[in-house]
Amino acid sequence: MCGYVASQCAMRFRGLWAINEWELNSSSLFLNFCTAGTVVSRWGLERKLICATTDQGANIKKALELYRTDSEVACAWLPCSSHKIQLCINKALDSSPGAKEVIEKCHKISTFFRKNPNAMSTLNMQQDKLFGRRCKLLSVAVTRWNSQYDMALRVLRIIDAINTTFSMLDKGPRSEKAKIADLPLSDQEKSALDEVLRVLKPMAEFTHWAGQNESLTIAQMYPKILDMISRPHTSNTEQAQVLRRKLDELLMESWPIESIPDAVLLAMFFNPACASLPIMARTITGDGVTLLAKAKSLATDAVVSMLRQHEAENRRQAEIQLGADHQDQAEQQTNNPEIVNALVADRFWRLQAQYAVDLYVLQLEIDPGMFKQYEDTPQRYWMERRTANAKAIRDVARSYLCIQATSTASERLLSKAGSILSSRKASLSDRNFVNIIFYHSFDRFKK
Amino acid sequence: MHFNASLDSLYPTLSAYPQRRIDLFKLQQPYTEPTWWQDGSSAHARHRNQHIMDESVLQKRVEIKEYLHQNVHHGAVTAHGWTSIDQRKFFGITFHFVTPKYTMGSIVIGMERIEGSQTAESLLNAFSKYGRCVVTSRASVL
Repeated sequence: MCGYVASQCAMRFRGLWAINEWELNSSSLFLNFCTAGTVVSRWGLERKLICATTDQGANIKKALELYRTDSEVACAWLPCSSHKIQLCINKALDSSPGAKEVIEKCHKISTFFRKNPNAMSTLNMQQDKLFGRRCKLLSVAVTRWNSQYDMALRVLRIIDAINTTFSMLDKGPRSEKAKIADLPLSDQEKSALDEVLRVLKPMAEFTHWAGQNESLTIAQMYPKILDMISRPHTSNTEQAQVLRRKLDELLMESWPIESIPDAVLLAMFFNPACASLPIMARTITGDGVTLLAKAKSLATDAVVSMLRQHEAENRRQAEIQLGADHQDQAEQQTNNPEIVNALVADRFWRLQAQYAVDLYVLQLEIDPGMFKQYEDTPQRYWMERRTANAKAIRDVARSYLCIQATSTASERLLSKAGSILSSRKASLSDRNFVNIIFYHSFDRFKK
Repeated sequence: MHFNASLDSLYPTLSAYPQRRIDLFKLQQPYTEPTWWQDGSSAHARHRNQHIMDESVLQKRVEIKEYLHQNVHHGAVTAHGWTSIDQRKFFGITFHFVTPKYTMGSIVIGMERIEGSQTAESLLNAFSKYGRCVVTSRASVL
């Protein structure tokens, strides 16, 4: 692709290239691709990238895919979990009409009160009388996460005041009566709403949790999703049961266990709280390999390549110390006596890696309950594990535990950008704006 | 108008502008006659002092880059696009890693302007500006 681009570019310079429709449509996509590539190469990070987390916009997705395939960078792509769970909720609500209907009704009640000041004042008086304090009714926005849930929750909270207000308005003039004829919630609907909100509650809490966390890693997140799916069904009403079933299906689809990406599987494996879960013993479809076995083989490969890197690093440093004249001496010093040639070295490293990985898995099997404490900070486990041969596996764990589950970090950055490039400072030049952004990030940079 | 444009094109030479506070180290340097854009009488303060911010940011970025290359084996990025209220499009990228002390670290590695209008000219500009870096050497042009 890059070669193709270069050739097209050259053609364009010669004035031979005609603009076609494809080019116009995909130019923004292409710019994204170029930009991401430039930034990463400018920092010299191509070889260091393991995973990129973004939202599921088609252009950015395609851009990273192009970047991955065409510039030979082994960088996986992950969709942002918060965005994904919101999509799941919306799809599930759309496909379960009962629950959707109840929530729509709440929306109608909410908008009725927000548009009628008289009714609202009566409602407020009723709230004062019943609860001693007032709650506002909320509005719904498609782009605001969980706004439907929050709105319905608020309606449910003050439902008694709302019903008494409706009964009072019913005695009023005829025009009012017609408006509120089908608005009040019956007891049946009330209990259905309660159940539906109970189903949606963990999703909403998950979104809040994922958003609050400054850098939420995928290793922390997967157990929570699994918890959410494996909760027992306790709802009695039909609407809530349908919604729950749909949600479970969609969650299983979005975070599949069987076809989990390699980088994510490794991240899970290196979180001891997650690797000791019973889910890791599940067999993947096909040749009966368990998840744990697959993770072990992947981890062994990763450790071997890390050992190779360490060896190269050692050799380079020894060469620097001894000077270029004494390369033979340097090789003698750094090489282990066992390592005669590259093949033997590879075999030796593989044995070492297998030993390290097996030791880790054995510890997990002996006492899985012990690792519950590392669920949210798996890095701490690897910090504390300073045994003789663990250097390589510790480094591998370090490199896989940083994979981000959500794209909140960059969204937070851009929210800050919004306050810098406000209406008062809209004429700030690009250069100064970017400088200010970098200044802010330096303050937060901790070594 | 003409004046500003020429200043912009001469931006790198502005970094040689003599500062107001007396710098003992600089006094020992051989004195060179400031040219008309360096004498400070005509240019606006924000143009004169632009290089101070630019250089400090650049220096800090170089420090962080060295730190990353020495201490971090692998990391992950997150990326997101954004449009400002005056319709400028930006692309923010953050880099995440586990530090040698086994805590999570993160750094902003990019906030790139994307030229928005999708005409042939802007595309061509983008190619000459970004494309070459991606296609050719991947040299660190920080």
